[in-house]
Amino acid sequence: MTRWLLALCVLLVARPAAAHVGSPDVFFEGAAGPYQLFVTVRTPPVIPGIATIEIHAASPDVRDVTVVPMRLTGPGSELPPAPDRASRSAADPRFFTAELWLMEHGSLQVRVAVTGARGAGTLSVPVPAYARATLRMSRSLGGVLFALMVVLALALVAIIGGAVREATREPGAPPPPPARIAMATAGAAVVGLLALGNLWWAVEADAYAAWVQKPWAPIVRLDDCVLRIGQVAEALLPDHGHPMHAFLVSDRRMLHFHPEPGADGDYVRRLPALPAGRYRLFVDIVLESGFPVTGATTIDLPDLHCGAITGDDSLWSGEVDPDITWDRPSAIEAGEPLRLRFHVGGNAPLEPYMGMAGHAMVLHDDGSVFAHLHPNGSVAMPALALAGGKMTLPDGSRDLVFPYGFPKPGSYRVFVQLKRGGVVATRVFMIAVGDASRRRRP
Amino acid sequence: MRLAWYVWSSLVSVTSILVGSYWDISWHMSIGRDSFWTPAHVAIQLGGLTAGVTGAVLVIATTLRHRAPLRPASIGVWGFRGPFGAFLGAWGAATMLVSAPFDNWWHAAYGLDVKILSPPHAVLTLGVLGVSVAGVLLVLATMNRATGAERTRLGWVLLAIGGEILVLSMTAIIEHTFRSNLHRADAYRAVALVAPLILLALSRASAHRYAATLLAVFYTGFLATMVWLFPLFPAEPKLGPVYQPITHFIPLEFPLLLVVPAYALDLARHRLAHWPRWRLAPVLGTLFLATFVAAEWPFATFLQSPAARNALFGADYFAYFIQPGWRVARFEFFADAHPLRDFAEAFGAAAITSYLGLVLGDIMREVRR
Repeated sequence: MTRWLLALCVLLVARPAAAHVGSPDVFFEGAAGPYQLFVTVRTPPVIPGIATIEIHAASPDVRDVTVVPMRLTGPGSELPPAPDRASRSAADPRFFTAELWLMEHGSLQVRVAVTGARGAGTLSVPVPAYARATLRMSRSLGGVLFALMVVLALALVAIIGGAVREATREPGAPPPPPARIAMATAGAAVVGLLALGNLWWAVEADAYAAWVQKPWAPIVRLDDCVLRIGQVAEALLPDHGHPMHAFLVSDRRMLHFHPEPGADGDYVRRLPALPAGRYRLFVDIVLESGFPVTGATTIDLPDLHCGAITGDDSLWSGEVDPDITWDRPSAIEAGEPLRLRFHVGGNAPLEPYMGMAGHAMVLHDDGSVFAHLHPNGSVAMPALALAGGKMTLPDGSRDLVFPYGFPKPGSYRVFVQLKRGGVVATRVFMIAVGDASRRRRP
Repeated sequence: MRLAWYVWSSLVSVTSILVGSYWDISWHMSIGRDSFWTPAHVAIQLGGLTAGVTGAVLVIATTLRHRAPLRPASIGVWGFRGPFGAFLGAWGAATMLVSAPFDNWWHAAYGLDVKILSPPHAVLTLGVLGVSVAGVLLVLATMNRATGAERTRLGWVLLAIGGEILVLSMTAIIEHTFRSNLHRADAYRAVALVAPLILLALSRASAHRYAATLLAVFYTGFLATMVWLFPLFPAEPKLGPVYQPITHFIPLEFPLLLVVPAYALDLARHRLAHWPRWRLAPVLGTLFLATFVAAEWPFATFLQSPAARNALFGADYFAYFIQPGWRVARFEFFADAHPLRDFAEAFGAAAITSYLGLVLGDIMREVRR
């Protein structure tokens, strides 16, 4: 196994990269028994840390909501801790919030239990927990703590000096001269202790930094028309029929394709004809634990004179499908949980596209945010299956709804994909997301 | 004769910190989630507060009143006067206080630490150490100035606080001395760094012939009682994921058999009392570690056996976060990668801490203020 491959495997197994790119919160819509819920999990920047859970019930008859964190699967997925009761909003009785400790990295679930006029129900929301950052100490707090440390250090040296000078003398005996050598020795010892403490702190910080999310830049190679992506992990869960979903995106193209394991361990896929240019590549996989990982890189492609699209792959080449429209809100703010509602006109019935009613890809113009959504929200479908949840399939409706919240302000493109009459249709929408001064509910 | 109020407040302070610390660790093993106002935290804070107030009152009273009873038995620091222990107690309480915002920031920066030894916890431990040693010094200085029955009674108080310090110190290293680690030199090296220093310093300062044994008996009695007592109280985890079914408070593991090497130390130091410290220390250090390994190694084997999985030894009590596949839950020992090197370090450490303990004990016998 080559060094880079080993490093990549370590990256994926021991230091998980992020689900999606730059989009750490989880947005999920599902049914807890008879109650339809929109659940938002605001993940903490550090683990262990406190997640904020926002639950919006579609109906007003929900009386009580509790939440517990558990492992998604295996040990730790069967014994719930004492549940946390979500508090009901005074302004909207259908809106509940709770704070929940996420104690471990990896594939977790938040189990939401609801009771109300129509009985009880539960809903499991898969949550990939990972550390995103280390907080720097503010100058003011650092200054105060440093000053206190200096005072305590000087006080300790002074106390030791005073003790060496007088503590063993008989009561009433006159004080001897100051114990300067003892104080100097004590001072050196205290400085040494502080230096050791500083060293320890650095070691602890480095150990924590090893757990902080590292971006995964897939190693890719183009052999004629075949794109090769270096092997990423021993075992992946199939995500609606494919172990890998990949997206090549330029200004006028968006290729959604599905590399499969090759004989040499790489994930490979024959590309269709594409114009030369710089493309962003995003790669979605789901590890065996249900932990979703998204890799991102850029690739310069030459003019590809290759074949046509095959299988479940799809290519958008700048066309506008007037049948797909977005019932968009007048203004969108960053962090706001939304139900992105698209309407599909025409008469052709909607069909499942790779088992799903629809797909939506959200891409920030600077490439810092990428999310692959489904009508259930931002959770990975294999993780949802592990949690015992059900995917949303076409139900005859002409509307597609994707629960999501744009993580930061800026310009985004939203690619909506669906299938009708045996053909995949894609439409791209541009949206400007504002800077939220406060969060609003859907 | 009645003992001075600050002797009792010192005992209360260290006891409060000890009970609070034990309770806090058990809380984190059983319930998980805590706040500033859990009973365990309040007990620790009360202990620090008691030490701080005791120190401050003694220093202020001794500084301001020239006829204060402790004025002749005081030391001077930055123009203030008071007993050595009073200054150290106030310093320890202040250090405990400072650790709080540091710990809060640590949790925000690196997540909630679920371990005992972290830099902010080390600052807290340093404060607790200051408070505890301050208690010893206040009692010790009074004892060294006293005679007769008062001296005897103070000797018992000294051993009680000393026993509490031994429990606190051994608790600080439980991440090295847990049951599955007891067939690795790492555990014995950790004990060698802590126990000989405390046992020899306090037994050297005490007049009691079996002081080390009594300290170890206190350690054993306290921790064994907790093993029997804590499971009587109901508890359930408030953090997840939960890997073990918890219905009651989970105690720390059964105490180490420190009483064996402590008894050996008492016998040896009595017989070799005339030896110089440089010659005595390596003998006592080697004796301590050899007898401890001889006792603890087979006892650990017993604790991993089904015979120890009962209310008496508590070997089947696991914290909620212990995963079923972990060695500790499977009653297995960790292998030792470098046993010879690590045991050599352990014996070296035992000799050094024995020497330091002897030096410290001799100094403590001389403390008058």
